[in-house]
Amino acid sequence: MIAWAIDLVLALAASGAFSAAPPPPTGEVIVPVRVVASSVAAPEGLDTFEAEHLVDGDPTTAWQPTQGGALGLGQWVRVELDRDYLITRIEVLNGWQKQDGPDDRFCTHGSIMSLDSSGDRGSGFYLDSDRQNRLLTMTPGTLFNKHPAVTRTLTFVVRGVVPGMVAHDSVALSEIRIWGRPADPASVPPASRCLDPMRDEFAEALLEACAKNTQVRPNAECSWFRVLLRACSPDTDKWKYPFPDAAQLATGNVDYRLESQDPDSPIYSATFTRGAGGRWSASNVRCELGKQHRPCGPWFDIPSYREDRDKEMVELEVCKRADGTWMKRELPGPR
Amino acid sequence: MSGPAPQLKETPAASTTKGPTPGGPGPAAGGGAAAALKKSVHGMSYEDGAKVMSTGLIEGMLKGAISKTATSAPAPTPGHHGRPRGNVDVQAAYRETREWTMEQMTNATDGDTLRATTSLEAEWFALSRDFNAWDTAGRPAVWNGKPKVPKDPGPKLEYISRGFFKEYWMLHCLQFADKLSKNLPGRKYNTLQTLIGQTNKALEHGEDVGLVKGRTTVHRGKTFAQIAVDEASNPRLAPGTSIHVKLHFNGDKPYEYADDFHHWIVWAGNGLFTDSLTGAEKAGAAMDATLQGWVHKSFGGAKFQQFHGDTTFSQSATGPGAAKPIAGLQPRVSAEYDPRVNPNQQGDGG
Repeated sequence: MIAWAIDLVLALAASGAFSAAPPPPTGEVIVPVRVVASSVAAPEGLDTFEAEHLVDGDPTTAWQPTQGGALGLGQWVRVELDRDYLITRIEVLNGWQKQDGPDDRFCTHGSIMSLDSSGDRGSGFYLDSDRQNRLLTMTPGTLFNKHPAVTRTLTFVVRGVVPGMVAHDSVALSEIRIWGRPADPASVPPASRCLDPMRDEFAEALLEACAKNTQVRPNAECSWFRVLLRACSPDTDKWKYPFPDAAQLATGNVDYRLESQDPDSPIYSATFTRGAGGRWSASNVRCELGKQHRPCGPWFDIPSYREDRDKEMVELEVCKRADGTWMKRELPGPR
Repeated sequence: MSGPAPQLKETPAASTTKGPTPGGPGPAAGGGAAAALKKSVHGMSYEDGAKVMSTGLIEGMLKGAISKTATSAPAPTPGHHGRPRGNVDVQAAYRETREWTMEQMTNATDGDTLRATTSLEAEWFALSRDFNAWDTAGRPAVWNGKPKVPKDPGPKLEYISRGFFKEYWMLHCLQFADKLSKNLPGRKYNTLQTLIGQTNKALEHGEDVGLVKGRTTVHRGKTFAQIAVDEASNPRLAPGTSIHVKLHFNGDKPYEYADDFHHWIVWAGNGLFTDSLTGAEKAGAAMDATLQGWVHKSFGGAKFQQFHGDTTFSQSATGPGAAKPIAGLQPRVSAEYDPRVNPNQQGDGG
């Protein structure tokens, strides 16, 4: 772990990631007990992309989900800890931070523009980004992360991407590193509805439906799923959106529909069925707009809102390599 | 909580209360409206308004003088139509609304928070991309043939927090006015949305819309500079009253035309106005200039094509393309809505 830390510091220093040096993390480094991902991309030569690479201490290895033609949007990874922790810091090494001969994989491959992060009580974590977008950090007690983060799992969902300059459709993450302290049981929030195992299973079904249905970009129908995953934040403990109650879940068949009073917001519906082994699956996933029931457009939330601005993807014309030089886009990949 | 976030309860005016607002998408807004939409959103900025002021110098000076007069006028006095008057601190309600809005910045269950933060995040990336491209080119003094060089957007989360308030309410000027109204002291008999619902209902049933308590049209057709002057000499609006403006200002139905340069502005008293995009305490002339700037920039877009062949609004009777608004065209007052008027009280409803 020490070697990993040294490598990390050296790599980040070389990348200029600490140009605005973040405060040193407090607490201990937490070693996850398990990492689960929505999908894993096929190997590239000798390089493999299992989710375990996210916590192996080696920034030159990476997790790459199956892109599915969707640039990795909607793909997710969940890090499980051995107990509840008070999280003091999260660092995510973005992209594939491997220097491969003349190629900087961070530039040639895709990286994250926006990563939805949440704990197991529905709380959201907000990741800041350094200038080059190589290091994403979450520090509690800051403007966006005001509340203590107590959790045993951390779920990260890809919400926006920076396509690679050569391998266009290849979003990756190199490392996830977590600091914290074992949570005092007395300080752990009481079990909420979100911690009900049945709802956990359903929440996972939402995630899987999100990843599965984001198959053809542009398509971001899982935006409402992601909102739902945070619907029981301890910050408010308010349910603004209906979550199936225990009786509904017990039937094993839930027709799920989200409709807003805002005519410009999507109407989202799906049928969830619990199969053998208690796993839920989604079918009839639909996203419609307005009273005319037009299919959802390509955009993340309100289709007609600033259509000129792609909210899920930003393409870079230049990318700063770890050695400080710049790579210019020469071979734009297929859109 | 009563913000603009998507909620599942029905409102009396569900079909109309989310009608197009400055920059907001109308029901028919599609791909072709993108450019117009962008223009309309950006057209509502204070800077644009100021630009229009500078090009219309004489008019601007005149309005400024009017506004100055209005600003120095005494506060409205109590006692007309039984409405609460004076001592209503709209500024404090604005601050409270602003604080509430900033609290929403980390409320990930709020659909508008998600929209606003996602949009700002993408904006930050786009700005960073441009800045990096300029940086890697050695920071030339001239970039893309222009002396204006890309600006460093700064840290991401800071950028988001700076732009959050405006972005959050961008599509929801009505909801902003409603929220502000709810934060005003004193009893509220209605919500703004309910008053709009009552107006629509009265119209649907062929009833006299003038009987809707809390809705008035005493300033219909006026600009904000004119309102400021008139209120100084003859106060008729209670501070905190929401004012609806549009181009078809004679129409009683609030959202009769979806794409009609709708905006909602709150009368703060003392010749000043407050809205979701430009903030608190803005003089009438400045608000007019902002609205003119919006119309000037967005009029030619497909979103507003209903106006293009109509010489009441357009310089020519030809269709879209180079359509330009007639000189001085701006949304004007259609009606005023005061949720604090007791609906059971006898007296005229305006």
